[in-house]
Formats: sequence, C-alpha cells, structure tokens
Amino acid sequence: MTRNRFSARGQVAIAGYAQSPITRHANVPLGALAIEMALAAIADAGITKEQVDGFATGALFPSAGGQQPIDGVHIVTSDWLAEHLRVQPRFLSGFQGVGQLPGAVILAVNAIATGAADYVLVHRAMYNPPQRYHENPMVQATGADQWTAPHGFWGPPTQMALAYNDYLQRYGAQREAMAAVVTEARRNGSRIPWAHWYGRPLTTDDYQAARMIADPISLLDCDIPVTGVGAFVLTNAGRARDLPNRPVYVGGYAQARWRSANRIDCLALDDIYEGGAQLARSLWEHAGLSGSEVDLPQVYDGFSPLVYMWLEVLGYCPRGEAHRFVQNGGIQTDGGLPALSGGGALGSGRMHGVPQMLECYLQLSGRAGDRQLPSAEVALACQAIPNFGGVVVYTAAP
Amino acid sequence: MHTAFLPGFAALVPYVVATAELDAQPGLQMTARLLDGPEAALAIGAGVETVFEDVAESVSIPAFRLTGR
Repeated sequence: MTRNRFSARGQVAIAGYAQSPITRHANVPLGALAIEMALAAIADAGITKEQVDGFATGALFPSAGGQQPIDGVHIVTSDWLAEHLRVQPRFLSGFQGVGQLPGAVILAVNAIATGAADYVLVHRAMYNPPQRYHENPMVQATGADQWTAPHGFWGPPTQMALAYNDYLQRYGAQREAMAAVVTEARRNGSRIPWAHWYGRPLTTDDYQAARMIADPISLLDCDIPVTGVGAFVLTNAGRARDLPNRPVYVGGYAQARWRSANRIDCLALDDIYEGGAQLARSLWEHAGLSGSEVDLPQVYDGFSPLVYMWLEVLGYCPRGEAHRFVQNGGIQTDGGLPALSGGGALGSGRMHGVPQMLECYLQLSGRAGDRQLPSAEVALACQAIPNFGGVVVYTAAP
Repeated sequence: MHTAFLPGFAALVPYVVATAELDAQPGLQMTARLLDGPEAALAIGAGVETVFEDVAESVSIPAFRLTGR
C-alpha cells in the first residue's frame, strides 16, 4: 500500500515471558534478578538458553541524580546479560534513545525478520537507588544543564509540569479530572500480583490529597520508582507456533524523536502534539490499520498527563478532550477503552513500558487469567512521550 | 516548584520557574525563575522582563519579572 508498510508484519512473535516482583528495593542485585528472569522467560518459551542467539534491551538509568551507572547494579545491558548467562549470541544490541522498550523490541524484530538471530531475549531492568530519585548534588552546571539547573529547573517532573500546565490552561481542564486516570491505573494494578501496588487501590480523595512536587504534578501523578525486571523471548512466527504458548505477533511499530529548535526543555505541548501526530501517522501506515481497529491500546503513563496526550495523538478522543473523556468513563476497563488495563506505570511501578507490553502479550495470548478480557485481537504498547517515544502493535493472528 | 532537586533551592520552595520566548528572536525560549512568586496571577502568555539576581560573589544569573503586559 505504502512504502512505509511493515513488510515483516506477522512474521515475528513473542513466545514467552517472565516478570519479577516489582518492589521498591530488591533483596538481590539487579543483575541477579535479570539472570533469574531471563532464565524464567527462556523456560516459559519452551526453549533452552543455548538456543538464545540474540539480545536486545534499552538500558537507560532514567534518574537525573547524576550517578554513573554500573552495569549489573544500576542497569543491565545486553552484553552483561549474555556474558552472565554464559551464552554466545550472534546478535547483541541496545537501544539508546527514549522509548527504550519499543526501541529494543524493534531491534529484536528486525534481527529475527532478517535472519540475524533466531531467538532474541528482550529485557528491561529497572533500579531504584537508595537516595531520592532525581536529587542531584551538583554545585556547578555545564553543557545544556547550565541553561536550566541554575534556575532550579530540574528533572522530568519539572519538564512535565510545563506541558501539563499548558494543557490545563489551554483546554480549561481541572487537575481533579486526573483522578479518573490514576485511580483506574491503581485499580488495575491492585489486581496484578507482581505489581508494586498489588492489593492497594487508590481513592479519589487520596489522589486529591497528594503533596505537590512541581505544580500541577503531584506525587501521585508520577509513577513510583521501583526495582524490577521484565523479559520476553521473541522468535519467528513459524518457530513460535511449534512452542508451548500461543504466539503474539508483531504487526508494526513507530518511533519518534521530534522537537522544535531553540528549546532546552524537551516537553512542550506543541512539540508533543506535532511529534505525536507524525508518530501516529507513521504507526497506522506501518501496521496497516487504524486506531479504531485496536482493542487494547496500552498507553504510557509514567506521568499521568501522558495518558491524555497519548489518547489524543492516537485519535481516541479529540485534542484537548481527554480530560472529559476519562471523566466520562472513557478508559474504564469495564465498558470503556482498556487503555490502562495492565495497570500501567502508575499501577505497577516505574517499569518503563514493561506493563504495557506485558498486558498486550498476556491478553492476546490468552494468559491473563482472571483478568482476561473477552475479546482482544489487536493491541498496542506505548512508551515515553508521543514526540520522544515508541509504539509497537501486537496481534493475536499473524 | 514544591521540591528542591538541587542544592541551594530548599530555602526558596515554593518558587516559580517559567519559560519565556525572547522578543528579539521568536521561537527562541529561555527558562528562568519568575521572581513574582507563586501567589502572583500567572497565565501563559504573560509578558516578562529580564532582571539579574546576585546569587554569589561575582555570580549573577538572569531571572524574570512580570511586566503586566
């Protein structure tokens, strides 16, 4: 149809997974947790570790605290994991942009589709340092930081606050409307045993009472920093059909990195919309479908306002209307669009896109247990910000 | 800002940071503290002027103040 159409649509599938408990701090080193989850995902897929010949991850440590991350402690790269699993891969890769998990999946998918690897382990390892996540002891700012740090403008919550404040004022939205998003994420997360917030839903009153971090971003508009690892095994569709689990196929993807010139802060609402619109066009062309054909659009919610922005750029409600859409039950898993059915980051913890991808896999493979939705054939998993992120489309049929 | 992520800002909380477009070059934006404080009537599009704060011996940094335009 178009030159942007994904020629390998339906040719690569997820064959198995593992998800660690998502906790504030693990009682084993992050590397040990990653090895354990890698082996569990390999076993779940019904293969042996010797068959794994490819690795992909996005290993960014997303703290603004200025730490130098140590591999195996704060991050786990593909190289570290392959070495410590004692396997000899043909394909080792790491995505270094924002939107790490879609980025890693795309590397894996392309490697499998071209025959560069047969079984690729995709993992994401997240670490919560003992100190405050974004607190930075710097007393001198250099490079791009010199334009922000001396003014007390620091860290992702502050960047998000600018775009969200713009949203609220531009569309006459009330902060209180966001309770519909955060309580929905927490309600779903409370039903997921590995989620940090398992068994702990949130009331609207709790949400409204949260302390402010960077107005209008409160503590509960941010996902909670956690330690955890998610791992998936991908292979080609033919091999996947011979393995124990029902395959979930990759139908297409899109990535974005777009911002206007002359801006230090990357999160400007106009940039999010403009870059997001380009991302959405590219996604629908690549996957050969439209948003209305997606049963399970798992939007990214590392900050709650991103839910509004993803819903709008993907076309699930008009621009500026998401705050009304969510208040009218638009994303309620029972009866609405199941956009946060997997708990997202707000209901699971700061797992950077793992809850979205995992929910797509569990629902489409029929492995969601008592949370299984009656009909889910086409899903998508978003991560990061519409103008600085990625989306992967998953399908139950090839 | 209700949280100080950097040294030296704890005593200033809550403080306001703003991004302003420069008259001299439309599209060019700059971020700085807005000295009018969180109780000021703040609206996107409000006019600001640049002033300088002396934060240490021989260190001055730009800040914004509302102009009322």
